[in-house]
Amino acid sequence: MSDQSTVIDAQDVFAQRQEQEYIEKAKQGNRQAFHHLYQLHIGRVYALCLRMLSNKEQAEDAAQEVFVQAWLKLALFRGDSKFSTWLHSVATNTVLIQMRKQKNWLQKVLSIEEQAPSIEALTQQGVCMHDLSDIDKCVLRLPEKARLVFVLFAVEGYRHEEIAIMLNMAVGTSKSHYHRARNLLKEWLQDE
Amino acid sequence: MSKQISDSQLHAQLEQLSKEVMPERDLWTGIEYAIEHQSQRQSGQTNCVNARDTKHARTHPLLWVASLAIVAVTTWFMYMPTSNAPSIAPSAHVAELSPVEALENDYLLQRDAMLVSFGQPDLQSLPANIQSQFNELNQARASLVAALEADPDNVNLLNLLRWTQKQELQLLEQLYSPQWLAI
Repeated sequence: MSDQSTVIDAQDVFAQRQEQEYIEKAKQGNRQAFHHLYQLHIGRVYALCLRMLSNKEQAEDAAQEVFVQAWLKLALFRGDSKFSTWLHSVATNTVLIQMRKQKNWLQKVLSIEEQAPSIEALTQQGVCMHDLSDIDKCVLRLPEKARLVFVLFAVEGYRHEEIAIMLNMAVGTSKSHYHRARNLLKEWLQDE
Repeated sequence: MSKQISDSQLHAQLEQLSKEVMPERDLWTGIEYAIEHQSQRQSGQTNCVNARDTKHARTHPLLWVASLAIVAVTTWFMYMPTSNAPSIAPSAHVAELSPVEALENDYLLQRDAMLVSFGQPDLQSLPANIQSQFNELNQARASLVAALEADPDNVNLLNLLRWTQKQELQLLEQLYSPQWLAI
């Protein structure tokens, strides 16, 4: 047991060192090193984009933009936090900016949120529903605000205070969206 | 009330949530293209800024000289003695003239200058239809001048007189201007 945990730790340390090397090289403009970082993190970044946007094409565009932004801001990463944490904050901000850009002026003025897409609509968008777990399918169907709060709180681990700032809403509103999302998920998962 | 799963069941489902979802297409090509494009744009912008700075530094003294020259020329025109340009009508003399006389004087001066520039052509040898146009305009002008003698401050009549004079001058220019003769 002890031997096994030592091996796991060693692998982890090696992976971290490898990633650190890629980061340093990428900071110096090495695109190959940045490609390695892309390969390491694209899965998590795309998952975040897809869950927040609930749209395959928009999620792909957003994921690309996240890595472009990461490349441009890489010099700002000082290594105080884990690279994945930093990259996720870049991803969250990029997606939120993209969502604001996609809203028309009427939606912005009246704070109208997008309608929750149906399973049929998601399938038509090309989202492979078979590859997703039941809860993922349900998360994608949540209304926009409830979905964003749920993904940021329950999946990404942000606090309601942080989410409130990100989404420009009161902390109480963030909490109520979270409860709404939970209730809808509990109801839908019962039906699955 | 609709049926729901329990909190613990939801928590268990959340635990199953996959951390990674891979996109169906390769996104790296687009990212690489954007990065390449971004670097080119940034270096282009840097070059532009440098070039602009250098050019700015070079043209800065020239701009100052040009500004000073403009100020000097404008000042000279404002304060130059009017006796140097008697053909423009001395200001004291203009002050004594009525508006109709001033307009007529101005018109005659312009017409004479125009005819001199065209080599003093003989207006009597013009085709009949042109002659008739000239006569009509002349008569209109004479009528307006006569009417203005009775009502010298009538703005409408003054405007009409100016317009008639302008028509005569334009007709002369069309007849004798080199560009028309060349056609």
